[in-house]
Amino acid sequence: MKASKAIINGIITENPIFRLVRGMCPTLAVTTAAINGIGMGLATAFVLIASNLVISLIKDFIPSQVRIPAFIVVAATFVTVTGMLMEAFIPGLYESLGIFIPLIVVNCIILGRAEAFASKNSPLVAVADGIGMGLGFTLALTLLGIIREILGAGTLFGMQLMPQAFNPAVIMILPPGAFLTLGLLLGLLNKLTAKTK
Amino acid sequence: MSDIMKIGLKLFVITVIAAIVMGLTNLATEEPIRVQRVKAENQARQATLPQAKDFNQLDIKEGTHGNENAEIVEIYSGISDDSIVGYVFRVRAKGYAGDIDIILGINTNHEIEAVEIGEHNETPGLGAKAKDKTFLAQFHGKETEAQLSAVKTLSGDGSVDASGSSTVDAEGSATSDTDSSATADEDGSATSDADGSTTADTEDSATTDADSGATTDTDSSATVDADSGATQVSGSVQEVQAITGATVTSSAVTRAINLALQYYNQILLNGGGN
Repeated sequence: MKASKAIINGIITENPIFRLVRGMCPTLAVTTAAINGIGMGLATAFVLIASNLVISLIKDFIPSQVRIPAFIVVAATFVTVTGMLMEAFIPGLYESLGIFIPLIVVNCIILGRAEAFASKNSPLVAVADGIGMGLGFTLALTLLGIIREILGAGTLFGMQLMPQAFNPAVIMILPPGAFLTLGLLLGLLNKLTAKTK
Repeated sequence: MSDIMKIGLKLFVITVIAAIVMGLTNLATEEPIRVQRVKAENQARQATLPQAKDFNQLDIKEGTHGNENAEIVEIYSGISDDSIVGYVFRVRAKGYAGDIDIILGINTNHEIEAVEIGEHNETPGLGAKAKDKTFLAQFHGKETEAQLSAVKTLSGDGSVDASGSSTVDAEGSATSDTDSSATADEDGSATSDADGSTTADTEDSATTDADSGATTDTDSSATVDADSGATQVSGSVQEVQAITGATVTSSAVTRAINLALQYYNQILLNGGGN
């Protein structure tokens, strides 16, 4: 597979949220606001790209019987190192992303791509897959965040969007709102793509 | 067997490399992270007491930490040019969902300089609004000698305990058992009854009871005071507007601030600072 195709694949054809339905835990938990979606998405993208690269490089060394623990060690190492470096040298960013970073390691999109893609492809294409999947994840999370923030808080990226008279539906930024938004979006996308076939 | 050994060894190599990478990163980042954290803590204190350049941690007097609802975690004296320019309290309140970290600065005019909310787990859109300026700014400039109370509707001038005492009256004084409720009545029960009773629904009265500190002995403040009636303007309450839909959070924050105010009045002002 070509690198450019791998990127498009991650964003659209096999979007991790809307197509693979992977990594639902952080998706449902952090998308209470658009900015959280972007933050979580980009942090995940970074770890995904790095772990895809390393796993692709050492794929011949990893015995297939213990590949899962090996993948987890790689991903967890990247998450830990990223967290430490960020807190030490870019504290401003760490402060806004801090709580999301440990969550990345339990995101099964990381493990999923390691298993399904990086361990079977060359480093370059694996990195491209990481970029595509990371961006696809970021876009999907941001979209969820935008919808939930507007309906649930009346704001967008923290700025007042709806008129004062608008009474925010607080349920949208509570856990049920996450399920409602995700379910309806999945349904909508399925309907749209079914028509174009 | 040799297969298992080989596999195990390879996994071991991977984990050793991972450990080395993390160890080296830790070595390189340990000191900067420590410096960052100290700086961040200092900044949080400075946000509530800008006139202070440096902070000295004080010992908290035995038996005055509070209780499970509100607890004093740390106290600092703010220093500028070798003189104390105020105090910063870190108080923990039991909110609607877990603990709320509150930082509170008191200046030398015996006024609240500023209040900030640190870590919390309150509901987004409801209790989490305690972080908003609109709620926190209400505490700024409030005098330390009167207790605070979070109410749903501010009563008139918003300075006296109109709704507080009248609620107690309206509900029957079974819950309010100490002397301060009596003083509150003396303050003119006719007026307070009149305008207070409109706001006194059941939920509100529960809040006000718990908050007025001096009136109820189940409240956290009781652990500090015992003799609070003497040193404080007893029963006098300053109101702040509670966050709509988040009465529990609002009163938790207010209660924690009251605890700090009491400590300030009774111990710090009486030379118990060190």
